[in-house]
Amino acid sequence: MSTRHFVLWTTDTRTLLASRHAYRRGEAGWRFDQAGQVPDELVEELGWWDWQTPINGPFPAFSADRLPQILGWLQSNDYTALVVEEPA
Amino acid sequence: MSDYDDLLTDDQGWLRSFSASLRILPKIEQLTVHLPCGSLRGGTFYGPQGCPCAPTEPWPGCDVSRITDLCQVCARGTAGSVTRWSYLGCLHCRAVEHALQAWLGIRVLPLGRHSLMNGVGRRVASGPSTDADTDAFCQSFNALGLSWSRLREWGDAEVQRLASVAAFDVEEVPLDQWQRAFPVSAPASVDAYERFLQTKLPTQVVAP
Repeated sequence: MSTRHFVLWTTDTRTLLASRHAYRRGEAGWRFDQAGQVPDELVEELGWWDWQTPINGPFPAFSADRLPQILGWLQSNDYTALVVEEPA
Repeated sequence: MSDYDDLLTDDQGWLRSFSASLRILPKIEQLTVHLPCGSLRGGTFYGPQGCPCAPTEPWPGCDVSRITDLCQVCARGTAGSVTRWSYLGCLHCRAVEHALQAWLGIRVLPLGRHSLMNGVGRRVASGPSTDADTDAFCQSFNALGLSWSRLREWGDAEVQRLASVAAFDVEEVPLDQWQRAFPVSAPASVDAYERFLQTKLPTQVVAP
């Protein structure tokens, strides 16, 4: 079973700061990844794309086992992000 | 001298040097198919590309420490690169996937390495939400993970199937030798899709 990990793509400062604090507190599973812009040819191919692509990283990432927890955390605090799965 | 060196003028000497430096880079044909695990491995410009049997250190500055892999559908063509935005299927298999998507209106195989490439990404926005929302989020990611696992298992089994057809008596087969034995082609990709899906593909997909 290969490792899976998820990244919060967000331009929302509150979300970024809160996740950075969680990371600094040493909460398990957090890390930070570069989140590159989606290549233009893929934006065209994806078709369903309907949001502003972030171009500045790094963005907070976390391990797969924390997915339900992080989603609950985002929702209960009214944070805004796009959750994506990146190759590990 | 390359085929093009005599076309260069004297003031293009830098181009000749650059061209010479490129020629010392290992070609991807120098990678080998490691039959016990079905992965491509060998030396690359970035460093050694490993396999599950012999993992290597991650390459700095690369999303993925692999320059190429065998296509996970047909196991004949190559796919992938060092970027997270690369594909797991070769050009012919991606063409079949595109045709199927156009016909069915859904993704059939998750040939993108990134979840967004397979249409999976969940927006969490301010506003009311429920536990059901969270469950739905998790389910979509779990489904993608299962699809990727199934595809990976298929790809591994396909390598073993092809290897048994050729009856190689070695553990490692150079990629160019592998592709001479099993040429990449549109019919081979259609055949792989049909066996994977256990159904015949309609003519509008096979010959769009």
